[in-house]
Amino acid sequence: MKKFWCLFFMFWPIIGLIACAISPSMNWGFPYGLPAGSPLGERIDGLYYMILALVLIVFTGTQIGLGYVLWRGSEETDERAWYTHGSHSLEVIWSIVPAGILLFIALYQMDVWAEYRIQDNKNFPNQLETTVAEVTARQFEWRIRYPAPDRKFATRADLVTWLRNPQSDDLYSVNDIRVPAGKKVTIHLRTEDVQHSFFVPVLRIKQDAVPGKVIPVWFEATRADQYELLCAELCGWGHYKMKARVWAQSQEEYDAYLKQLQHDQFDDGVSSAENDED
Amino acid sequence: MRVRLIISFAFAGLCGLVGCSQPEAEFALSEHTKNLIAPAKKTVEDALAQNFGTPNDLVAWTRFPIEYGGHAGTVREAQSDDETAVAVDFDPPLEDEALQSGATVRWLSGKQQGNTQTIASYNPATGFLKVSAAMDPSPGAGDSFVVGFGQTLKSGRKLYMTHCMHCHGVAGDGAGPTAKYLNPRPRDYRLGLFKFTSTAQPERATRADLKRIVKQGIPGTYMPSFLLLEDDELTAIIAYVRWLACRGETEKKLAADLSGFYSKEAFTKRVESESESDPDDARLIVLQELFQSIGYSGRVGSVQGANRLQITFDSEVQDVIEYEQKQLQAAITAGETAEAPWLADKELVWITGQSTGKRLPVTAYDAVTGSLTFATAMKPAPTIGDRFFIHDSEDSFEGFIDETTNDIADFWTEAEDESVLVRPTTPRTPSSAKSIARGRELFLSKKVNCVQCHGPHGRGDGPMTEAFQKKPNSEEKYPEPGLFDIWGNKSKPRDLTRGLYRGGRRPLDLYRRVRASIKGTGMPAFNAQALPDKDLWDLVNYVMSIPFEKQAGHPAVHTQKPIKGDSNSKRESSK
Repeated sequence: MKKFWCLFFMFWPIIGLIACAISPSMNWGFPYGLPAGSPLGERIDGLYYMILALVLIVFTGTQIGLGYVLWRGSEETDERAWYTHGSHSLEVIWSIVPAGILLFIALYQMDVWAEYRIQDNKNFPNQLETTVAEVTARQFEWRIRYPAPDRKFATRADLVTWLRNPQSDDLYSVNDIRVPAGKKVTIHLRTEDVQHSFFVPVLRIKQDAVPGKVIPVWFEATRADQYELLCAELCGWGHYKMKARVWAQSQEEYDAYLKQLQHDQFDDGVSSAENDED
Repeated sequence: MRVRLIISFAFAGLCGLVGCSQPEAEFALSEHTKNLIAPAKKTVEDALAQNFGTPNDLVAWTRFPIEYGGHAGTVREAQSDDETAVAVDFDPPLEDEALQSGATVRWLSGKQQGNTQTIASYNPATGFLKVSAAMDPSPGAGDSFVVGFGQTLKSGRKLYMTHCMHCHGVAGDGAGPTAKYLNPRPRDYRLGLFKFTSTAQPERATRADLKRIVKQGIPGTYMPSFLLLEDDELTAIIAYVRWLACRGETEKKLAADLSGFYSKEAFTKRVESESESDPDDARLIVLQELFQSIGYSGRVGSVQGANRLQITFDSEVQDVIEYEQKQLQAAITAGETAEAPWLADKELVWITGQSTGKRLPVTAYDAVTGSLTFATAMKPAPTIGDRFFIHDSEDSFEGFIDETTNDIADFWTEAEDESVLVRPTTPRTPSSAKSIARGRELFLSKKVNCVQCHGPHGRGDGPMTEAFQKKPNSEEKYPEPGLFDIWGNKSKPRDLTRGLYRGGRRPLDLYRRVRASIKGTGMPAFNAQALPDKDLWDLVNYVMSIPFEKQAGHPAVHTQKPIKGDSNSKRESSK
């Protein structure tokens, strides 16, 4: 029976090792069991695996220590227990080692964070070239405003003017954000009422929409696919309704979509009778 | 100690159980119905329960043009040797897995009309349909039926309860739990009226209009977009909303018809006006009129034979009957009339029980024993407690229900007709400084007079918003200034400088707001005589330019850039 507990506690690190070994091929722990849909997302997943590896090492080490103690206790039943009133050096070690690990994680992830959030970072895309839309969260939907397909932002001032003043040739849609796949794109996130959060799990993007602020959010969808967009900040009784989609399409399909949107939005009911129904 | 532990566990368990039970959803009655005197209110409730059911037990009334769902088919060939089987054709043909045993068949025509059977098996290859019980008489070739009737309505209810109910209410009365926090208020469907439609003025909304609103939402209000619902889900929600609108309008019209004479106030007044008789009789005289119209209602006490029932009338009905008998007796004694068998030649209609909706001619009623005799046997036999009413088949309230619901059904059918669709005949004039200037002139003109409500700069602050308006059909004025819609909510004329268009931002949508109006609000409809297409497009161009004016009231000087791919610029270049 004594041996049973040794084996029992040694069983779990083995299971842990196996689970961690097959986890990357199964995409365990990721939303919808899907790998990241963006290059930045892959780097974020890399951080996840790095932390998983650290945790695995610490867990296995601790379990082996526990197993050793139990095994020895069961073998040498005559040995007397001894008492200790603490060891200063041991305490220093078990404070400094975890602190060091935490510091390592904090420094190691900075690059990824900077790329995602710091606008001065060399990898942060140029907003003038990559802006595709303004996304306004409101209770309980996402409203999208695209610049007219032929509108170019030459200067920062152009972009700011466009963000502050809707234009007569802007295109509008709701709950359906189309972006070109395989390209860095920027959306400008704002909210009409309370705080919301722009969350696309598969693209590993999450950004709060804060009243009074226009926040640029960039991402790059590698696969042409539809991605679920959710609100990740409890924003009121209809929070659960705030589901939309981000649809990454090939450049041609994306251009065709904007063209169709433009056509539909300026429909006068005579030239395109067939578009009337929805 | 242990006792205390057990008690606390039992208490916690009890709390848990109480907390888990869900309240049963029910259709709330309208204020008009609630204000009727008890027997009149009961009639409206009965009519609604019989024809529409409850939220958990819907009745799909085929009178209304609503997609209740199911697979329609006809009998190809009756089977003479097997009373449980027929060869059938489905239209459109069924996929194999679509039909499961346990689904129901509802007969729409032929000898089995109105009856329902359960499917035992279906062979798609031979079209051989077997039901679980023998059909007598068996259906003939050409009889039509529906399998899984009401599926769409049912799934519509589920979706409605998930997504719509908390604002629009269980009964579609716009009074769900979150409604009171919203401005503007959620739509109350019970007038059968929706604001943003593509149909000409008095007509209803089309299915496409409702679908567009559900998919796109209404910017500037709390109606969010449900773009990601599947197409069949949208169809189901819209069927259910239309069904709720039909139900609500039926209730409204029945209550309105009765409330003229039988609302609590009207009833008291009428009783007082019958000053000649003593007050007890006055009440009975007025009630008598009511019962002659809506029927004498009661319930089965016991079944005494194939064509004999022992019945109990509702207490107020009983009072009236006793009064009538007394009057009759007095007239006979005075020699004014010969004895006439009371209640004979009238008709009994079942309100609840197995034969709901079926009718039987009454031959005699014995007031002393309370036994009622019919000329024919009752089939199936009623059970104790089944409710019914007895009435004259001519000029009864039932006839009024028929007429009313037929009218409502016609309104909804008409709305889908191509002829009522509002659609411009001339294409939009490309937006230009000139067109915008002409539009502004019209905006300010006496003829079109947008200024009255929308104000000189389109800010929605016209003089009408400062004036006290009269309530509809009365001389009384609203307690606060401004415009009100037909639902009694304050309705602000749109501030056109904001570029938020509730009914949609396409030129076609703006065209329709002027041509078809915004139903139920002060926004009028301008027909082609009042405002020809060309003028209307100028007005639309002006309205679309308002949000981009450099200075209020001064149309922007730059013309709108022609847009690539836009139909207008294409047409221009082809000229």
